[in-house]
Amino acid sequence: MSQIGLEVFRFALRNLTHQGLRSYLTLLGVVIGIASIVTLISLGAGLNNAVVKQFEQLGSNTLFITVGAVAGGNQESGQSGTNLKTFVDADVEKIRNLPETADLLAPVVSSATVEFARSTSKVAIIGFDPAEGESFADSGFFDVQEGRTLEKGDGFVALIGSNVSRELFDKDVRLRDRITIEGRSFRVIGITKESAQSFGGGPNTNDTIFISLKAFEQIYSNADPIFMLVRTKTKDDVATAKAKVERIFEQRYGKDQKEVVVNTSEQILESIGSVLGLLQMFLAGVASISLLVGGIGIMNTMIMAVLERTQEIGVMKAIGATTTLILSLFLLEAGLIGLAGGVIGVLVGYGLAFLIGAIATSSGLALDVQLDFLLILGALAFSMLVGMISGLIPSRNAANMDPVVALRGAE
Amino acid sequence: MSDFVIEARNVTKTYELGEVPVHVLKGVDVQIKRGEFVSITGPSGSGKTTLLDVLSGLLRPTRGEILIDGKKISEMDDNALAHVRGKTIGFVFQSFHLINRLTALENVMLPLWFQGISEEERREIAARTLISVGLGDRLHHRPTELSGGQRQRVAIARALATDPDVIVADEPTGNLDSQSGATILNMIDELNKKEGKTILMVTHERYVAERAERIIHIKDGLIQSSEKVRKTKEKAKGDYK
Ligand SMILES: Nc1ncnc2c1ncn2[C@@H]1O[C@H](COP(=O)(O)OP(=O)(O)OP(=O)(O)O)[C@@H](O)[C@H]1O
Ligand SMILES: [Mg+2]
Repeated sequence: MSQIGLEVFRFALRNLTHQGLRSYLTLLGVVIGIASIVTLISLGAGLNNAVVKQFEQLGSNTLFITVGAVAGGNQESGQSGTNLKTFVDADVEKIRNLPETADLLAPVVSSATVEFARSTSKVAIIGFDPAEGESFADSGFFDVQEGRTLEKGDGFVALIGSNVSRELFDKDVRLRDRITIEGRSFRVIGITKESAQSFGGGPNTNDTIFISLKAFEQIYSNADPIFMLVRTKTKDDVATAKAKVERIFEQRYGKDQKEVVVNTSEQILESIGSVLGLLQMFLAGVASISLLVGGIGIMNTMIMAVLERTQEIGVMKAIGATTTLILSLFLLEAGLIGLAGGVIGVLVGYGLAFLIGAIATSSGLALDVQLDFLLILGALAFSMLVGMISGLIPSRNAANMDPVVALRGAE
Repeated sequence: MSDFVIEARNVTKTYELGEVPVHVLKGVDVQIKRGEFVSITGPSGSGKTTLLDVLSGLLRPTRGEILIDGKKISEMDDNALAHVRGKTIGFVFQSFHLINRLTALENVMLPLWFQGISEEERREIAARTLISVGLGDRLHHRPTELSGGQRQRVAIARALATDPDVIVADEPTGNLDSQSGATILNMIDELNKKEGKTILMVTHERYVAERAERIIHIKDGLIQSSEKVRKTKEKAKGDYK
């Protein structure tokens, strides 16, 4: 039986190659459809990989607490001149003292004029307590390329982002160089690895200068954090901690406060996932339209093929071909047109995905596109299925053809 | 096994052309004995081809019953009928009906494929059969590279490949010159005499019909006569010009 199956396959393949150019043109719709499916799925997976990797470094037991950017400054701390609200020290302490809290990082952020080699530039400055930073060393934020990160007892020293080192000033900033931040001299003790990490939705770490909280307080009298990372003792503590933190801010800003947002790693992953999902749905729409067009093309090709081969079908049925055999011959032929489109589509799709991945990665968005054999197999099977479904009606017409009518029609 | 390879019992065939029914066969009874050589003749449009199609199981009758090898075709589904047809009956058509994209060999292999015979065996049987009809040097030619007479010989080889009991031929010489026609007729004759094949042949020419043992004459969808051919020695040799 399987041998017969193989021969049906060969005969169908032969019929297909006989069709020539027409079937190749038919492929176009399927190629575009399958290519977009492959591109969208592999890009989506690549993006997802990159995002998941980034958040996995932070750990699933992390809370992200941000205070919203609202015009008018902070009513509590009274800081003016900035549109950012900040956390109140008392609240930070309450959170630090929660039984669930293991570590807390409350960096302070400002923008400063920085001088080096007689050139100046506006740079984002982040100040944090090196003791706190230590427990977040594995977060990937302060991975050091050269030198070291900030340590307890550090004074006027700076850890600078890779872009700060290479792009912001007339000369490259090197280790042990001195830079001037708001009139004060800092020695560069480290340069961060080039990474696409964004520090809590703020500036990219590549474009940031990190200094110790103590030094920051020397420059800015009011150093209140606008962003906090809280790591709970266990993963199970996350929900309780989140609720308690939210209560603290409700007490300060009222029941329906919108200023402070508390997110868990999972929530952030979910929301990124849903944005990705929307993008994928859109691309899936494009894919299904082109597959529909491709399917209609295949149907048309097969209708023509059946018309052209009317006498052949008549003869084959007369000399003993069963309805089932004719049906499978034509279905397979249609399936093979789909499959051929699928093969090209997979190649084009991955080509495109790798290209986009390379472009995205070189522009800072780590997009890790990988060959997925399940996807390839699925795409090929699907393209064949599309072909067969499109060929169903013409194939049934061929199979159900009355041999006498077919033979007479050809005379 | 039944005495008759093919039997038609009170068969009618009616086509509905719009409102008007066309009665092509109006109740015919035919019995074909095993090993018999039967011609069907009659004027154009009298229903010869239709009768042949019905007798060979290509066309289902409107009413009445066809028996092939004693089995009622009304009790077979299309797949089963196709299988019986492929095994029992070999077809030779007026316009050959070979598949032009296949070689002579592949054309002859086709009916064997439908009978589920292995490729190796198919190739061997097809080659042998083509050699037997004198086309041993044309195995890999396509029909378009062959003369009409050669094409009809390929068609005969195709009909013979499955070693059927019955050869059905509708005007097998209709598209051939007299020379090739004579060759084909002699071939058919030999199949009957030497290999004992049952032959059912439609023709509208009296002298072709007379190559058979029996001539069924049909007119307006009714059988007019069924007469045995009285053969003299000269007649058997054929006065086909
Ligand atoms: N599919 C059909 N639908 C309607 N009428 C048909 C059909 N097939 C055949 N006929 C009619 O049946 C009649 C007999 O046709 P058939 O082909 O059997 O004649 P024939 O005796 O073989 O003629 P010829 O000698 O010209 O081949 C004709 O009048 C023809 O028009
Ligand atoms: Mg006819």
